Amino acid sequence: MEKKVLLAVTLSIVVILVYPIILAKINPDLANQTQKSQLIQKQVVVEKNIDNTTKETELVNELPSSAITANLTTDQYVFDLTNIGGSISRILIKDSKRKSDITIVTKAINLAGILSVEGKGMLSGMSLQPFIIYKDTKTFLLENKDLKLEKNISFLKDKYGLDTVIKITNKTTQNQDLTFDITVASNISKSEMAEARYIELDIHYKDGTTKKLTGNKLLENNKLYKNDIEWIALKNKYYSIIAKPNFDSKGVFIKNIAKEPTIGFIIEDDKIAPGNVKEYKINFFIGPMEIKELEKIDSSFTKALNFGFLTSISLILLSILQFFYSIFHNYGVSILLLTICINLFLYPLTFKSLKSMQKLQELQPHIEKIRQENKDNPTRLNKEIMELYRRYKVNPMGGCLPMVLQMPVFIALYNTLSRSVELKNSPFLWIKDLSMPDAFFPLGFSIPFLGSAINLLPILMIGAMILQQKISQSTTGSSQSEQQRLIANIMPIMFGFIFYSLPSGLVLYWLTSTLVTSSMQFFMFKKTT
Amino acid sequence: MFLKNIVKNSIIFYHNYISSLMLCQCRFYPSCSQYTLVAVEDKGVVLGLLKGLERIMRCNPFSKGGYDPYK
Repeated sequence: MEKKVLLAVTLSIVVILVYPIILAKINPDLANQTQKSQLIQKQVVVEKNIDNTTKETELVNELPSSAITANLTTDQYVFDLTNIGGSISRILIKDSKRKSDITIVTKAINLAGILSVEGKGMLSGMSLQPFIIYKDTKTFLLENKDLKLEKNISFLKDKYGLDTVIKITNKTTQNQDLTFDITVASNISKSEMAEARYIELDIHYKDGTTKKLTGNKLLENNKLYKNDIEWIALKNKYYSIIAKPNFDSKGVFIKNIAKEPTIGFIIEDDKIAPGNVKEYKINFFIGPMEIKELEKIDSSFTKALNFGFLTSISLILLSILQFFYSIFHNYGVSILLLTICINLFLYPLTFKSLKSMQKLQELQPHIEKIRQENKDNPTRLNKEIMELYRRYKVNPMGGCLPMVLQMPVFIALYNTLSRSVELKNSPFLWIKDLSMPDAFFPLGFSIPFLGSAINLLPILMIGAMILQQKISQSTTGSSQSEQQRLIANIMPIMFGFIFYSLPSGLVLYWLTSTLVTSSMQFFMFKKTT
Repeated sequence: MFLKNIVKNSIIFYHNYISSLMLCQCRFYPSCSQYTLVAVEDKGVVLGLLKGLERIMRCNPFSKGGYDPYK
């Protein structure tokens, strides 16, 4: 028997170690595969598509020494504007809620610069031309004998958003074709721990479908031709750049420039008459992916939130958490209240099984007798016990359904806690960040499995689970077999292991849940005796 | 056949190691996982898993539970 338990423990540890890796592999792809068929995908190597004149220089990731950079500071952002290509080369987001500023885009120059334009014909080489920067009107301007190219930025007050417009004036005497790319996002930061796997490109179409690209697919030069684009987003774990065009883009391009994805809109075969001006407007969201902030810019931007395959449940949990947060201004308290809510919801089920647990005590002599009689025949023993339960209309077990029902809630909560920016850096009691382990005693050195700090919450949780067992053993009497008792002793420690490096908010949830059920059990038991 | 083996082995794994660690809460004998295992063997992966799901739906505190072998 002990051998089996040992095996169980080893295997579980293997599962714990391997599971996150598998999960990371499975999750992003799952979303990709389902929508593959809806997309007409044309894979074109970019170099072939661009004029030979710019081919050599266009992937160069360096600025000439003559480049001028101007600085724009608002309540939300610090922007660096570069005159070469007339684009935004650095974006810093001021995130006062989490008291941390993040440089979401760095070193975005030439073709990778945000709002840079590169095309055919009269627009060829535009990403390398020097523009004039007008800081007061936040405008880039380039004028030559054929065209006038003007790019204007206007910030939105108290929002993480900006409106941009690109104006092209045809100064020639002939009709011109406009075929070009506009870069809207590139070089997105991945400074958070293991953040590279969260980098994702979402293309949201007007028919409501979303195409998601992650990992290596973002590093292939690619053109995805499909119009009716509502918006595209380049995201890391907590922040995103979302661009919504007001023109009909033919598709989205992805370019690998210095091993960083650069994305933007493709415009093909637009006509412009002599002397005419053509405007291309793009509305941006650049900021933390909070539901409220996203909604301020555009209600459809909330679709950029991705909490894995249970996103809808995660969003419900998040909205409950936010509701409590709006009253108590602390996410730890919100988690406590959410736990109580879920337990109240499951109360009829818990009550029923606790009731029959008590009745079981009266049957204890019968069970003991059956056990003695069928010592050598476990199948018969189990059958007899089940028959006994049925005869006396009791059943100590809660059933598989409540457990199966709780599983998605638990996974969704895990995703909410570890991926929603709202919970990032939110403190509770001694916990600095509910999305991370609580790290009560910092050690200063690192131990395998345990990391560089001792976490208190998982230890408290082990204590609570042992307590719960003691209570349930005293309510049901000693109906457990030797094996069950052994497993019961190992279980809290196993759980401690599993929970040890999970977000402290999740451990808090499980701890409260355990305490609530065991106190329910305790008081019901007390009432009857 | 390959898929069937994967499904069967993961049920066996769940039954032997996970559910025993979680203190199985099943109200029936044989338990939901054993029941599903037999069902997958008998009806194939899709129908078998569906039958198992149906059993799990029945396995709640409002059901009587008890001896309920796969038929």
